[in-house]
Amino acid sequence: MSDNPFRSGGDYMPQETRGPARPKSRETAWRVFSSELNATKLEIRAAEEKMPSYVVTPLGAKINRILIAGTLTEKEDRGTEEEHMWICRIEDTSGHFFVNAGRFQPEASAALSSMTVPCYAAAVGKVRMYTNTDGSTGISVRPERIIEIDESTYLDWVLDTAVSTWDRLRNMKRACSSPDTDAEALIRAGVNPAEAEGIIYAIDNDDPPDSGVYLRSIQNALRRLLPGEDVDFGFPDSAGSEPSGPPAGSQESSAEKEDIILRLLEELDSGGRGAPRDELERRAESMGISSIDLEEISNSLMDKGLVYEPNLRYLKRI
Amino acid sequence: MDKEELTPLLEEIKRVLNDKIDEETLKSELDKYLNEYHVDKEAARRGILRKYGAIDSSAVLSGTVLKKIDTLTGNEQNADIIGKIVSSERRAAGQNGRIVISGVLGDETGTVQFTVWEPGDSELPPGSVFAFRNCYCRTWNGTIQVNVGSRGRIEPMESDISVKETAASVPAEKKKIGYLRGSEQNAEITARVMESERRTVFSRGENKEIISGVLGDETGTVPFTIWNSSGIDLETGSVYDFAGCYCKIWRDQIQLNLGNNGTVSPSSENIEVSGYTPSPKISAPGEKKKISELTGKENSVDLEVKILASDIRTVNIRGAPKDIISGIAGDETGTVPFTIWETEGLKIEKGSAYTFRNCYCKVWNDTIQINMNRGTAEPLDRNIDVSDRTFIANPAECKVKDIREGIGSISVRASVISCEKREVEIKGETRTVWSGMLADETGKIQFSAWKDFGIKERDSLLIENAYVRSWRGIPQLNLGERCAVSAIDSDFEIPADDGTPRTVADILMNGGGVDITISGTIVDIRAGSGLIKRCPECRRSVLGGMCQIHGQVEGVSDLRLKAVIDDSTGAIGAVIGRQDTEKLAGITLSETEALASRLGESAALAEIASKALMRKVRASGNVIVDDFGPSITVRSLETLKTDTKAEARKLLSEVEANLS
Ligand SMILES: [Zn+2]
Repeated sequence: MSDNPFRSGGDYMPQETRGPARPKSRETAWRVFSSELNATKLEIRAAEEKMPSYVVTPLGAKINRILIAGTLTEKEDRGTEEEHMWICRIEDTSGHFFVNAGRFQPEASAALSSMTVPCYAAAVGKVRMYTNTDGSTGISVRPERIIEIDESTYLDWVLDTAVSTWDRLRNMKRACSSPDTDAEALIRAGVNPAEAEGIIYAIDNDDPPDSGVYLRSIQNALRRLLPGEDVDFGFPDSAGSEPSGPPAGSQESSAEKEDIILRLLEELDSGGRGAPRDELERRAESMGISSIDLEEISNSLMDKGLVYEPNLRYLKRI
Repeated sequence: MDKEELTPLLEEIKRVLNDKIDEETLKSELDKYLNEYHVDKEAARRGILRKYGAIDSSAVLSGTVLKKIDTLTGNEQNADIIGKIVSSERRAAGQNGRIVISGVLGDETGTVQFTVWEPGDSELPPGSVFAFRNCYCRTWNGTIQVNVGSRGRIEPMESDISVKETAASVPAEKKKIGYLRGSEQNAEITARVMESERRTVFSRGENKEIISGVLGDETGTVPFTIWNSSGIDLETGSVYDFAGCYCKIWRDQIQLNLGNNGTVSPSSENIEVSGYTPSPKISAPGEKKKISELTGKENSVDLEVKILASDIRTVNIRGAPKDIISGIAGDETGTVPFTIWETEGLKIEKGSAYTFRNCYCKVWNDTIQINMNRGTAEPLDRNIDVSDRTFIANPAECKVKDIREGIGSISVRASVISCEKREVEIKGETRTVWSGMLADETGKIQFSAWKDFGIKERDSLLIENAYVRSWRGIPQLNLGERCAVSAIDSDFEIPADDGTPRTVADILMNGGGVDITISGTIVDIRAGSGLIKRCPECRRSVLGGMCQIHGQVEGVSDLRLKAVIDDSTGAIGAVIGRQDTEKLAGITLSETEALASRLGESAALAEIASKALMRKVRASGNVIVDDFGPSITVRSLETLKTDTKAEARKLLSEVEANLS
């Protein structure tokens, strides 16, 4: 009988492929500065249920899970005593992370309740891209675990993250400097497959990254690690450009909103006829989903074949 | 940070908090944020304001900066601008026809285009002055646009402003390719299309078609991308005018981009292109070669080979799982590892002969490898004699750490750490096997010798023609009938008992092993951690007083952690025993039991978890890979102490060396 800690939870799943069975790996926790995460524009949405979603940073980090650290400078509970909805900022040396924890992050949510601002904190969690109503996007971190740490643990993270940022910058530069580079060529040159894949995806789908932004992040990290020493790559000290904050009412990504609507449909379908539209609208409204959003979400769910309209006033789960 | 510099900030916070906080507390709070936690002034201001309740929920979690129009860069995420409406119009925008107001805003320094996305009933009559709060900016085609989105708002102002009529944009400049600097925001060029390719990419949630290729003129060539290709059809060899281009630079490489507002139109100009070399492509039928003739530089070569080993693996390429076939091919002259990257409908059978067409070669770790991407593998109706002699003469010699299943016949130089003779029963037949542990300077591996080679502890050996089998993901070396063993003089520096350093990515690719060391961060504590009861007979953990072997038993208390260690290349499960758990959490078994009886077991576990999580550790032990993933049974564990300063200086000099 296996003692394997992964027996509990679905981090690893046996893969059905030809050849030797290889377990799908638990998603690696990437070490990425907030400047790189917040500059992210690319998202790879899961095509099927239970498949992971990713965001791809300008330097090609293809992230599902992330390990962050910094100073917890703000926390605010927008939920209730029974059900917290924490919205926090964690500052690193390059800017700040937006951290949200609610009822789907019970451990992190409980931990946040007992943390006092300011303090050093580290978190492991999933990244989420959200879209504002004006079409601009942002990234937040949904922590699975968050705890208070000491300064030296934070500085360890700053160092690790600076090193891995530098590695990505160099690999990206290498990939950009030969126009016909593909993932295979990068793998052959010693880049690990997950990173190679992300780099090529970023090159194919994003503008070339501005290396200055990331050199400055490394510079600022090194200044924090080596106070009083001469660290100057020619960039001013100020933190990177301000990322936009998660606006009230649109913290949920559309995937999450779809989940909410699906759950509501089941809940409201008492007689098997489906959920009455007006009731659905009222409930959705109370959960921060506007009627326009609801329209969009139900269209999308119909496109996916998950719901249908038995008649004009009802919506029903398939 | 000195007092004088802080005074304005201090005053501002005091004013906003309206005496909710006394000056001493405020000073010590500020000191904590700025000097203890080294966050910037803005973060400190916001942190304190929120803590003392001066930022309400409707205010967003971000700060704004008041900007003059001529200082806008187009990258602002959160700016305030005070300006006078020069022109404005209410119009329907986008697919759903939502109503927006857009127009031109001006201040003393210039003008800029704006869009208010949710104007409601607001009127923005020309001539009036407004504060645009929480705006974000975008550049289109060298023009800066200010956006007031859902987070933003507009407030009428009493003051008046005299507007300077300079649009906040970069004027279009006519350019030759050779004179591009890479920072152009709005360039016009006339150039000949040397290469162009229409591709579909997935961007911002949708599939979109782009055109990319190479443009040329008298002064040089440049790669280009057209991001909105609808209605654009480029003919290779023709000349076009490209307007509204912007450039990006990645160190030395300039790239020309045409965004949504760029235009392309055919030009009658005749352009002689200089400095163009076609991008390398695999074309013409490959050169025919024997394996021994390969140099490793071939771009397109044909080989007639027999498959000696072949394995289908799934790798992730561009977000999608993809099967590749790798193995070892041989002919009359030698053997070579191969990888086939396009396997659609392809079946490669061990022992069969094929013609591999249009392969390319790479040299990796001094070994030539053949690769097939756009090439083909055609079954060949002839037998190829890969003579034993040839195959045996070139078995891959590897280091212990590189040994894994699927690499065929291998040779290894190693020392014998242990060896014992055992009888095993295989398919009803009793056989004698000599098994134990081998090591070189890179690692250790278990071996089994199926005949008596006279192997003794502390021998140094050259083992040729051994083969590899894995058990639960741990590769083991097998010395069979065809194996040759000879004594050598080498003195190996055997890795100390703390094991061979490996990354999780390496383990996932190559399997587990014995005495492996992992360095990473504890990112999770899983179910089954904390206080447990063990069977006094067999040490198995007992549930509800029942041992699965010994039935009802009086369990003995124990402490363990089932943790997840992530080393940034992957994650591995770690089973950590009592001693290391006690050391890691700074709490003994009996203290944990006392805590559990007082506060409950989950509180006791939470206490341990809070000490263990986010710790960087080095764990050594045997690693297996089973259906649930890789896991390490930790034999020893220590908290990693990094000399961050020394490591930071190392990184500093590496970055500096690459910048100059
Ligand atoms: Zn027992």
